[in-house]
Amino acid sequence: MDWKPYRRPVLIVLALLVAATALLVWLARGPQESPFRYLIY
Amino acid sequence: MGSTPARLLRLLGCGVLLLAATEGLVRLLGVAPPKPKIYADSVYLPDPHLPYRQQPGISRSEPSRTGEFVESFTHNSAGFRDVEHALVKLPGTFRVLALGGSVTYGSGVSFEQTYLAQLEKDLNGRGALPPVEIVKAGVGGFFPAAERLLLENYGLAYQPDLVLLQIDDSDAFESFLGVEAARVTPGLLKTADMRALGLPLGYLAVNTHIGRILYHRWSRSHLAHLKAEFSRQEPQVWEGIERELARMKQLAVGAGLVVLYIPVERQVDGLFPLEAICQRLGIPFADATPFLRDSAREGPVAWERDGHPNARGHAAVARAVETFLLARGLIR
Repeated sequence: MDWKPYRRPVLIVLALLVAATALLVWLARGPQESPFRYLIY
Repeated sequence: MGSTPARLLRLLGCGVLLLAATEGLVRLLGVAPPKPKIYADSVYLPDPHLPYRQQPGISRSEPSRTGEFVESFTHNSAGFRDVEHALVKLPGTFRVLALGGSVTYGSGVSFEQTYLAQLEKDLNGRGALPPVEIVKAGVGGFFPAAERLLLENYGLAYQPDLVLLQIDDSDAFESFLGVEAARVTPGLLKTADMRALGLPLGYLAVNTHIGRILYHRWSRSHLAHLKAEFSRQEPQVWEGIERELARMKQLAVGAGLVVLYIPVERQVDGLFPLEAICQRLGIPFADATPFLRDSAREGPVAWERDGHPNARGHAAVARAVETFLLARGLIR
């Protein structure tokens, strides 16, 4: 099977995956407890 | 190259796969906030009269939110962290109904260390007084409007001779958010914040790691907005609290009503208008602040990160309440 035509889209998807994960890790910084303590005791 | 619909379908498939893969990676990394406790393993259940009630008849031991202590608790058949109480009190017994939030529930200390358990023990050790029985009806997260509903619908059935209402610094903001914001409902979306999101977003915000991260991030900024709004409306919030206290005083007719202030977050004097409200309504006001300040000279009176009083703090509050009740001759 010739993978060459798929190489670009696969690389794009992998790059998006890494970027999305990095963004979520960045967003998850900070205090873990919810500020809505009254709702989630 | 396929037709346009086929390409769109492929793109959509790629998007879904990408999301699923990201969710998997985020799960592997373990960076998302934990599932809210009320969805994971809740002790709070829907109730026809209250915003929620505590699950009756359970006994658990689990690490606290901040990991500073282990919460061990047992609920009686009414869902209170207390021993069993018959509704009809024994003749000659002086019964106190204690209402409040998590401080009165005793988050941060063992049952025996709670200020109410210590107070009951100390009062009964005095001899000259009638036997004192305290119904410890603290519910985590409750505030005056919820406590009034508890008194009205369940508390008065205990025939209290005295109603002790504990208020701390969190009550004003919780009152601003109100009963509906605290209401737990059955089904997938148990809490007001998730009900506001609706299905499927509310479900995803609770059950996926991506959803939890995004919702958490949004809620932190939303909280800042709510706090700003609260600052603007604080005078009206206190008017609402005053109405609730007036209603409780009416309901507790025949029994006395005492308001107990326990500083939790500010660790300073009661700056807010609670004392003035109690004076206007003719409700005895007990302030635990001086006792806590005295005890704080010997060491911390609260858990540093969690904020709830520790064993030393509860002992100080027990002394404050005992001194107040005896000085005012409120136990007869």
